[in-house]
Amino acid sequence: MSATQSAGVMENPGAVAARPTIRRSARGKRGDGLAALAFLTPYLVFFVLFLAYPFVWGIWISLHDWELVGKVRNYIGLANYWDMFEDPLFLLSIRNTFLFTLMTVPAMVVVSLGLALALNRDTRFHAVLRVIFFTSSVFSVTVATLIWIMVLSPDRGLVAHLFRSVGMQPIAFLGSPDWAMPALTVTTVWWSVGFPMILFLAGLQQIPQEIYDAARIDNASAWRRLTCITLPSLRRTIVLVVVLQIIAQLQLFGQTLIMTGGGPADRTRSMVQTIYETGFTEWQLGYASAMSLFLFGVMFLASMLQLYISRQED
Amino acid sequence: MASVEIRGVRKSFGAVPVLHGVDLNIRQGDFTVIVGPSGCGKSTLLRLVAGLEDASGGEIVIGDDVVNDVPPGGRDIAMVFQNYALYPHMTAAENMAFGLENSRVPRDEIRRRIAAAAETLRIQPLMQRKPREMSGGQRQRVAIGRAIVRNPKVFLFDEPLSNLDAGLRVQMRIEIAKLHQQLKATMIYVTHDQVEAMTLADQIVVLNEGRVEQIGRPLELYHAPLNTFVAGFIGSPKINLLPGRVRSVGPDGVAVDLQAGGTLTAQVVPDGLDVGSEVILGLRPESLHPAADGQGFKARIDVIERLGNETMVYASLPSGEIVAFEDRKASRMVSGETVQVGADPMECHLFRKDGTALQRTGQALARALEA
Amino acid sequence: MAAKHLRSERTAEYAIRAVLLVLAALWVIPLIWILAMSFKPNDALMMSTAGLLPIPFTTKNFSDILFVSMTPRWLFNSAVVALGTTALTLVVASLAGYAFARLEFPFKRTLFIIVLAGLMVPEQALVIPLHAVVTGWELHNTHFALMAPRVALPVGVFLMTQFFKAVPRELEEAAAIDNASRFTIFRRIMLPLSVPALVTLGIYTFLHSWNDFFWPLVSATNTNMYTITVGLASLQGNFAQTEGLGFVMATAVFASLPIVIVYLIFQRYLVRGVALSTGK
Repeated sequence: MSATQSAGVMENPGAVAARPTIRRSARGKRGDGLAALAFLTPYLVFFVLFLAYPFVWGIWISLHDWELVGKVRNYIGLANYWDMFEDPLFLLSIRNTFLFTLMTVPAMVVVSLGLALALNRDTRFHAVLRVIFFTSSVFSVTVATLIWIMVLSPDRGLVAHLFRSVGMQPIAFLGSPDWAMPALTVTTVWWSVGFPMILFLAGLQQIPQEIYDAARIDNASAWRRLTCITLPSLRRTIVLVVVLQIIAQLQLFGQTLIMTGGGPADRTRSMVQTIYETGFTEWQLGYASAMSLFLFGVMFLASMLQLYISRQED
Repeated sequence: MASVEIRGVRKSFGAVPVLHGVDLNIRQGDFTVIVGPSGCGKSTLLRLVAGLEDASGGEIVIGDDVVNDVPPGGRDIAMVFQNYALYPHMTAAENMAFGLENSRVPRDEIRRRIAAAAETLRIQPLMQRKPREMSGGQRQRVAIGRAIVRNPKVFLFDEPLSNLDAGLRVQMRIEIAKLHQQLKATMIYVTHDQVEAMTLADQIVVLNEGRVEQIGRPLELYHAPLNTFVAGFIGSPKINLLPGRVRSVGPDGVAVDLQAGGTLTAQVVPDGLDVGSEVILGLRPESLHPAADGQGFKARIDVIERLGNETMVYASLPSGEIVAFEDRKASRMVSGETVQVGADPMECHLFRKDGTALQRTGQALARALEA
Repeated sequence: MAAKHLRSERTAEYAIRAVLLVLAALWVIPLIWILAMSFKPNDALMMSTAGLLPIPFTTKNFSDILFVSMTPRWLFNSAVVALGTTALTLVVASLAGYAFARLEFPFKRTLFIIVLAGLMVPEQALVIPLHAVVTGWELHNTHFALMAPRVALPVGVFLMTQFFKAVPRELEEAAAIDNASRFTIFRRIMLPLSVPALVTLGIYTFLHSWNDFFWPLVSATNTNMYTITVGLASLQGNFAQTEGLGFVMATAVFASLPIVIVYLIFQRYLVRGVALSTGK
């Protein structure tokens, strides 16, 4: 055989005549397009009807004086938004919500991080405790608040029993203007510390053991290992938890509605509670929508903060 | 079983061309190995035949049909993937049955074919196991079994042995060769390993940067490479390529003065060569041997590898180039020593400056191909 | 020196364990206390709520709930809504997730970004217009109205998209060569492989749906359509004065039992789900 035989010299006579025309293949695009429609439609029906459309509708409503029962539907532009900031009740609820967030987020981060650090071990003891601290997170807000209303109750509560046993007068925590907000914070931390704790545990799991081994060989104390290795390695998780917690706590609702009703003297009234009452007891849907969108804006800023911080780090 | 024909096939990913117009004929029943360095487009070519990628131009013909617009499942081909791609949640038997079920093959026919394939591959004990309960070699057999039961027109292999350890690789290579003899099926096999190409192929296709460099039988590629790329890619250890100038053109061949000093003669057709032309001399390690003074060139020995069955010597020329050669007599050379190295003119390859080969004379080539 | 180091670390270790135990008590004792009350007669609770053991003991609270209260109906509603939401979410999210992960179609990126933008919309910003919209469709006080808004949330689609993207492409290619249609690939290859992800998504959806408070509170106004979560809240309004303390506690136990059981069975998946949601 010749050494100069090169590509394509050999011909297969049978195949020469085969189908001369090539249809430009579009199998990848067109075929998938139909399939995609079939796969996506079920979800998109729900997404459009129960999320996208209501969201846009909410913006529309917020530009109106829109009452559910009275059939009043006047376009009033941004008036609802201006009114909001001259409404002492709403301003108070903003203040309360921010105060609650300011108290709860640091408490939540410290407790969940502390628990995660202490529980990041592979023993049965630690495994059982992890389950215990997470269990409260699976309760509904109704159950969690019921438990803490009982625990804090001045006449029948666990804390009251404790106070009496040491000869002190029980405090009506939820009825006290000074104690009500801290009581909500304690309840909230107790109820939902499990999720951030597990986020931190997941973060801790990702720090390679070799780094700790190297640090031990370098004679680093436990404290040094914590401050120089563990905490810096967890920075991303800490940012994530802080932002998720800010977003979660800004939505404070069930706790105040059930435990204090916003009282005493509106001292624990939250933004969502005001939205709820404006919308569903006063039926001012336009005004309530405007407030909702304001809250959405605040939470949006918080998530942008996380995006910004994580960009900075990359 | 069917022939495969690739006509002017081009493929680009976005603006990046991967294949620049490939023509290739594969006869029915042939074992064709596509070989080339990583990134040369060999896997892409195979995936085009499989229908996993769409060609940007050209035609792919399987049997008598242009299949460009036929989806993979309709091409009646089977493929063995590098990482096996067994369905992890199915047993070996279920893996093998899946394709047949999709093609609505009757139940008892499926059972019969699986039993036959399991026997051929000696994997009967694995049939109820899931992939994670198997070793790499066992998974590979099941993956091959999945291809066999389909009884396809063409078998496609995409670097099937590269995830196996060295020993197992040799064993599976032999089994695939046996399988081909047994099934006499058309097979296309992609690898970057020239040893697999040499041992398995009826026909080797050397691909480089999206172009076919040469197509031919294994020994043809070895003894009559069309250019320095093929010469360098086929053969291990690699061929030594040494630059030089033509000293004289005579009936005994072309005499070349090496840049590094010394002179060697190659028996080639001196097609368009003039005295003084720059050329590249190709010397296979096994063609080089210690020579008498005045012949060949001088080299200083760097390293001697004694493997028992052979002794490889790595030596540097004054110009700094490294050559490898086989010391068949296992003589008592030591590193640091300077030796005289020569080669039989009949065994020398000669390339033009642009890398294209000069045809070795009939006599030299005939002897080489006989060997 | 080194020995001293070790000893002080040992001491610290015991101190940490002691603190952990005290904290664990803080988490567990209220639960035991509530559980104990649910087994005490109401008149005994009128006298005193102290004590972590159910003495005197009665199961009357539970039998009252089963035979004379609305609680069974609320539990039924919760079960229908939570299971329905979970089933619907698993179906639509896995279908859509597969399309976003593995199909090529026009405007895919844009559509995916729009859907993901839905992640940013909090329930609170939606409840008012959602209520108006659902009023317009006359769907309030139906199980479907309680399920649909949660099915619309993009979290599941996002999770399944991420999961399907991680499945090796060769598996699908092997299946394509095996002459499997898109739907066959989805049903026989991708779905079986995604069982762990589906379990995680399923449990989360179930828990959140069972615990939903705001939406059922405004949508289900008819006591017959209350979920247990809302129903329990409605009982609390004046329980402090009521003699039915044990009764309320028993209702709370009923409300929590299903999720605590789900949690204890599947806690491994839950923990993994949290890790997944960090996007790492």
